[in-house]
Amino acid sequence: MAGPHAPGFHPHLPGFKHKFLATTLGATMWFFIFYRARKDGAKLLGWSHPWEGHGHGHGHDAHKEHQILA
Amino acid sequence: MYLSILILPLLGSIVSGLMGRKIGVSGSHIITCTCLILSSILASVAFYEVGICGSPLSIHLNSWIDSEFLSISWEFLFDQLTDCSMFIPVLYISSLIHIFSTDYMSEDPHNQRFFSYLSLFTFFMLLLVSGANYFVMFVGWEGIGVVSYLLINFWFTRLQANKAAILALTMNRVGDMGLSIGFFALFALFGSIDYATVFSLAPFMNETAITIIGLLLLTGAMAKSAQIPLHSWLPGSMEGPTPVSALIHAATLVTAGLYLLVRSSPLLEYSSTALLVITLVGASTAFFAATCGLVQNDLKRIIAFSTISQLGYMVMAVGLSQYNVALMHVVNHAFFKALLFLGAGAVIHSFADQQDVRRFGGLINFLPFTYTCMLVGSLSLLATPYLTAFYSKDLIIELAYAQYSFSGTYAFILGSLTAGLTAFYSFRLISLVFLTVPNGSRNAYLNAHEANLAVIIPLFILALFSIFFGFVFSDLFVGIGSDFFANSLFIHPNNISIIEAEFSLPIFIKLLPAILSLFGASLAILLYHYTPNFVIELTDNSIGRKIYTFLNGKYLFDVVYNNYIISGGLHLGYMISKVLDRGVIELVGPYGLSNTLTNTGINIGKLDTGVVTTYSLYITLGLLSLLFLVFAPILIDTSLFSEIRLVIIYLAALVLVLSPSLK
Repeated sequence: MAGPHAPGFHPHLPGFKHKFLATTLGATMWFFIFYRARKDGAKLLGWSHPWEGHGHGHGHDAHKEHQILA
Repeated sequence: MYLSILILPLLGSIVSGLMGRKIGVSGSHIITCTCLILSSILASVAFYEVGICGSPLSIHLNSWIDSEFLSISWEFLFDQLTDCSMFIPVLYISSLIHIFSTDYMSEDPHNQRFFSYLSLFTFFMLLLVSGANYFVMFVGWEGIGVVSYLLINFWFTRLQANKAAILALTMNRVGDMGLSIGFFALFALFGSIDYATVFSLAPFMNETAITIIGLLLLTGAMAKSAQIPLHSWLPGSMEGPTPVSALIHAATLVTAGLYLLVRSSPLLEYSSTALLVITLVGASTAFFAATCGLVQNDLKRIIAFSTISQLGYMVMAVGLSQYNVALMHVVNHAFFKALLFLGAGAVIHSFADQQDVRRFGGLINFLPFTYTCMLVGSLSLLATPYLTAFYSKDLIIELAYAQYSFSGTYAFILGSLTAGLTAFYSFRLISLVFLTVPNGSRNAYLNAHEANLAVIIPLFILALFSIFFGFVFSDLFVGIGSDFFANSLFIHPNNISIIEAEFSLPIFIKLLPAILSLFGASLAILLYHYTPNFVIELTDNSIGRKIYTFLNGKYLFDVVYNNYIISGGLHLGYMISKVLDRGVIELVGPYGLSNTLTNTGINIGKLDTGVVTTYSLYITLGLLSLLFLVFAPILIDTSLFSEIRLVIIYLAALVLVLSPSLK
């Protein structure tokens, strides 16, 4: 405490809790970004449209059902 | 319950401020934090009732001013705009900053005063956003102005803090002057300053009149939201404590101007000229502040310029009539900018109160959690896909292009460039503070340490908001066909461009801001982390130095203000004081009147000479006057003279009597 400093460079490096929290937070952010990119990335890059492939009765199967009913 | 949301922060402020010696520092912490947290919980319930269930309400307390036409009451409006868009960010962030401050300000001897001010500011901000007429709003508006002064000047023994506080107050007065005239104009045109009356009559009013009112309201918003040319108070106000910068100059106070414009949407929508001016001001401010932010060296000032730049985006969105998108960006910005400021505060506090970014470096190993928070905030700020700001900032730029107008194209070009610049200065900050080789003193690194739990919790919560809030709430706020805001916002059908922005823009246009952001961020890392000598060489020639000085000097706005406007204003004020106040007005007004009456008395006294011939003259004059009075209608056969003959006689008599006194 009140004695002279030991020779060398001895900084207060962060403890495990801080490192763990930092890693968790960073990982959460990157996971969320890549997860959303997997889900919505194609729409963002213009490879597909937002109104395509939601499965609300507008796919090929639904079209066939309409044909059968007709 | 709704009024409790307002009253609880006021209660905390009064107890902490007036009974500070009784309750002590811990008591002050506990009471103000508890009041704010309770208020936040109540606001969440209000969000459910008003926002989700769609049941806005107004509360009429009592009449305040009732004079002829003018009728103003203490009335509060809790609608989607108030409750959902303003209460939630203001109260959540205020609560978190109160908690943060318990640790950050723990060494300060004036904790009670500080917490009292913070809570009082929150109360006035809530009053501003919940008033049901412009007058109640103005009470909150002035309240936050005064408390802002007190908080910037909290360390009142520092000369720089004094100067910054006075600058903030006076510059806001300029805006308030415009705003006050705007209110007079509103009352003159509509006969009322209630939102309901004004907005329901707006479609039937003269467009020029609405344009004038819109521009006057914009003046007020420009000062409060730090838009060109009334922006220079905001970087200066970083002299206050960091929690103040986070609460007032990032998340809440600066959004008051935006709130005013958004609240006045039913008015602004009927003036295309006002909207054009708003767009130009917003886009110019965004670009201007981003270029200034590139070369600032003070950690907090970089974030302050980033704030001005983002406010420019919001004002731009208002000018483009996309009020809901502007609001979404207000809320998003509040979360990630509060995170950045609190993160900056944690860095400054742990690094011997150092604020110069050139004296940091390598802190990633010492402050990993703070680094992650700053990274989350920065990535969110530059609209990284799927983080919070992506859902508002990117949309604003797309909406600008989708207007297919001059102002829209101007906003799109400057907005896209600003996105790249934002990425550059954000990653310049990250690079200089956390990544490069250590540039600080050995002792600073020896004592660098992560903060306590009271700092970690707010940072963590704000980081989560900065990641998830945009995705979770984007459909509610800016989704196509969302009727979340109901009647609280109005977008003229001619100005709706969300469909074009979503579905008809070329993919390159949509991706351009993201590409520029990626380029800017990579360039910053490359320049400041890998080739720092190149940056020095850039400014080591005359052109580079001039550009650097121009940008670092904030386009020399302050020089122009100090040398031309302020000296001219002081001279004008001196002249008014000397010539008008103490000259003409006193000669004609109180001093002149009393002097004239005294002299008249003396002169009338002199008429009493005691000489008989003089008395006979008076009698003759009196007789002639009487005869004139009696025979005037016959002698002068005009109706006008017959009506004012008495006045003429009295005036002539007065001249006769007073003429000696004027000598």
